[in-house]
Order: sequence, then structure tokens, then C-alpha cells
Amino acid sequence: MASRIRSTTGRLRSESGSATVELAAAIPLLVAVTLAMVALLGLARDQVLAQGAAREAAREAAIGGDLARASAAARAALPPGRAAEVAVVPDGAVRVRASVELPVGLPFGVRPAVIKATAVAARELGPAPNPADQ
Amino acid sequence: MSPRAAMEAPSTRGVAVRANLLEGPAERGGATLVGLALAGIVLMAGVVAVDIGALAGSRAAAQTAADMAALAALAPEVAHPPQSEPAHEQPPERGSATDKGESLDIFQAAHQARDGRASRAAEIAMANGSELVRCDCSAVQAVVSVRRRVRFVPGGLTVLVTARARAVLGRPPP
Repeated sequence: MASRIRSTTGRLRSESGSATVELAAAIPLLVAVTLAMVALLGLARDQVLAQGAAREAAREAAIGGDLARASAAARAALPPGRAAEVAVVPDGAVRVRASVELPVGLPFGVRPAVIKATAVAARELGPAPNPADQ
Repeated sequence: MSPRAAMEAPSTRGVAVRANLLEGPAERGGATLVGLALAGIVLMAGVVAVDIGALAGSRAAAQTAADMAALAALAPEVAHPPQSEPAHEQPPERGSATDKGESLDIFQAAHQARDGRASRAAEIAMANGSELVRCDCSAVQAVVSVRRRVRFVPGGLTVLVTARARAVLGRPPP
């Protein structure tokens, strides 16, 4: 009886603190998942940014601006220094299509993703805007 | 204390050991349950983050579609030439309906123009991945509503995102 009680108390002593150890092991996982969620929200933010840039480029191209002006309008809608690929092509006779691609870095060494956004606008007749007006 | 009394007296040490024996197995796995609950909460938060991101992106795209559709509705008609020209256009004969001015009723022309604006807005909205819901379009103002479908991650629940835009032909700057 006494030996049984000793073995039980010994096991309890060896298991004391196991909850702390398990929690300490779970904390890195929680941190990793939190970082992944922050990265997801960053992707959503970049999607909105790319959409706004594509809209600006399409609008600029629709009112008669050339490719350089449309590209500059798209880059002006992005944060300074942000790398982006801007393409503006005619979409039929009466429309223009602007596409913006943003490379986005991801945590944990995951391959960078590319966010794409497209906007289509109807061409408007009239003289091209004067660059000196802006 | 006699040996018999000692055997009959309650032992506090024995109570403590019994309590440990009862609580020990019941508390085992408690940390695992807490960990599982935390993982579930974090997973749910991740799914919500994905859905919020998809919602925000679709909202921006729908707003772009609405803006472009409203502007297209006010674009001049000459910006949209017909796709195919007739092979040879016959001049109207004298005494025909056109000559009498019956077919070119001003109200019918206004109705056709309004339909043309709505049609242009619908084309642009569709080209931007959205669907035109409403177009209150006149010659000087266009109020356009579009909608876009968003599919959420768990269960494929579909939500309609609506955006509205208004374009006005303003007076040119002096």
C-alpha cells in the first residue's frame, strides 16, 4: 500500500508543470498563425491598393492619356517605392483595359505572391489633358 | 494513543493522498483541451480574416465597376461606333415614314438614348466583373448601382456586394 502511494505521488510530481510546458510549446504555433493572419490581411490591403491603381490607370487612359501617363497615374496611387507592373491595352475600339500586378512578400519563406487587379473604362473623346495642368 | 485508537482515528495524510489520487487523473489532458480550444479560435479567426480580405477586395472592385459604368453612361455616343456598317445605305424615299417625321418621335429618341446609356453602363460593369443593377441615367447625370458576388471560404456561402456611383457633367473650368 505504501509503495503504491509512493508511486502515485511520484507520478504526480513528474507531471507537475506539464501544462506549462504544453502551453509554452503552443505559443510559437499561436505566433505563427497570428503572423499568417497578418499576412492575409496584408494581401487584402494590397488587393485594394492594386484595384485603386488599376482604376486610376484606366481612367487616365480613357481620357486620352498615353501609356506613360496612365502608368504614372497608377504608380501615384500606390505607396512610394512600391514595385508594380502596369499594363494598359485597348480593349476593342471603345474601351481600355488597365492591369496592375503587385508582388507581395509572405512570411516563413513562402514564395512571394502576385496580386492582380484589372479595370476597364470606356474611352472618352476629346483632347488629351495638358500635363502642365496637373 | 492506543494502537486501536490510532487505527480508528482519521488520518489527514491519508485524506491528502486520496485527494491527489482523485484530482490527478481528472486534470490530465487539461492543457491539451485548452490547446485545442485555442487552435479552434485561431483557425476561426484565420477564416474570418480570409473572408474579410475577400470582401474588401470585392468591394473595391465593385466600386471601380460602378465608377467606370457611371462615367461610361455619360460618355458621348460617338465614342461607341456601330460594330458593323450596312453594305449600302439607301436614302429615304420621298413620302416615307422618316420623311414624314413619324418614326423619330422626340420621346422615342430620348428613350433610346437612355437605353443606350444604360447599355453602355451595363457593358462596362460586366467588363469589370460586376452586374448592373440600376442606372438612373440622363444626359447630364448618371447614378449607377452594381453588384458583385463574393463566395466565402467555409461552405461556399455567397454574398452580394453592392456599390453605387454618381457622375455629373459639370461646367468646364474657366
